[in-house]
Amino acid sequence: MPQKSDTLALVERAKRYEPQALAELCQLYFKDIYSYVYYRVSNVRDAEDLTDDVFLKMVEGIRSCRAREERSFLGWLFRIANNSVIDYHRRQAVRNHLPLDEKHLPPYAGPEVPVETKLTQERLQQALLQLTDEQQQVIILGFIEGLSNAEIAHLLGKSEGAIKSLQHRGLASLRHILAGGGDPL
Amino acid sequence: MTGNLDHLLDERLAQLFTEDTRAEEPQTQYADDLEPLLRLAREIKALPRPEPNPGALRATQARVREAAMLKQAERRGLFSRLLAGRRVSLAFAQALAVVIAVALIGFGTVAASADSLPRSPLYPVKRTSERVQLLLTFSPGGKAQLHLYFAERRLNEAMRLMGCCQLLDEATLMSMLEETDLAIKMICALPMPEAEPLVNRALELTAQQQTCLSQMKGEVSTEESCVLDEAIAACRCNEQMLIGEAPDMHQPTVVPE
Repeated sequence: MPQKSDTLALVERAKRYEPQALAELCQLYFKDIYSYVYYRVSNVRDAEDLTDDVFLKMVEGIRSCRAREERSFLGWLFRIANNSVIDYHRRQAVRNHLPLDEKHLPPYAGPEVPVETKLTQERLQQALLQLTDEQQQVIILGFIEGLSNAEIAHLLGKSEGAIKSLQHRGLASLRHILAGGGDPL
Repeated sequence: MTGNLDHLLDERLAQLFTEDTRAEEPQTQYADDLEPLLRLAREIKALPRPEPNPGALRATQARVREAAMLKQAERRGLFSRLLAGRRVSLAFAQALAVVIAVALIGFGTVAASADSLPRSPLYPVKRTSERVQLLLTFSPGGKAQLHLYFAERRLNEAMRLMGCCQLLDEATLMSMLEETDLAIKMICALPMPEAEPLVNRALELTAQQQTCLSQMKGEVSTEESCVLDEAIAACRCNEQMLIGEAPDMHQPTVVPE
């Protein structure tokens, strides 16, 4: 089982297109990317397709990856994921006719989670989707994926101050939406 | 939201991420604004990370392996093409080097042959290069000029042979007369405005030929002197023919006996 501490060595091997190294990177980061993509699209099938797409793009672009530490490699993958999600939303805007049963499936929460908690989580997840694209990125990457403000700032090409500001506005908007205020602030 | 509230929210969120229990404490001054946001942040943080379908992971890994193998094949193909390109380049460079070497040797040989005299090893090269020059010249005026030039060359060769070897080379004299004949025939076929400078040049050449051949007579035997007389007569005949082309321009050359 590969460890994330082996990432840089794996990346070096992956740059030579070693199938095993690329498959191991895939195994190490699949869950992180899937989770991020899932909260951005809220659809299991699309999240799987987009995650698959992210790792195929990883193969395409691995030689241009300049990661010097494990976290920066993860940041690089998140950047690919973010671009894939943006493309996905653009496509969705063009053809917005998904079948209802495939929309907004709740995430896996374990059998022990009470129904009330599940409902709260579903509401929260739906509210997250109503935030602006940048607010979603900052909230999901920071609060769910556990990236620091500095890492998010680097990933999105913004200052840490801008990230904090987006966080605050995102939380305020969520509060407004969950309080029944409708559209984000 | 005030600046202070922003600052406090930052602080509390940072504590939330470091699992600091103080994040749970309400802030008295901004409790009403701060507490709901912090609670929301905790709820988001508590959202479960969805477990991907193991089948999806395996499918992606399989596709990634396949893409990696394609990339490897592409790279091998690229290297092969580069190597093939290098092989072609090398072969081309070798061929080019041979052509350049031959051309340089050829040019060198032709250049070296320019001063060669009959019976020297390079003389055939000189004559061949003259034939090539004629073949590569397409205008009648240009060909006539070349024949005049070659006739002048033959005269110089004959004089040099006489000067260095006391040798009268009849073949060279014959060749001089042939080149002159050919030049005159071509000049006569040209229209007058174009022929005029060539007629003048041919007249100068025939005069020069008569003068030089007459000078050579003093250095040869009686038998050879007769050959020179015949050559001088031919030159005079040529001169007459040219004067016929331009009667008001020139008078026949008086060759000293």
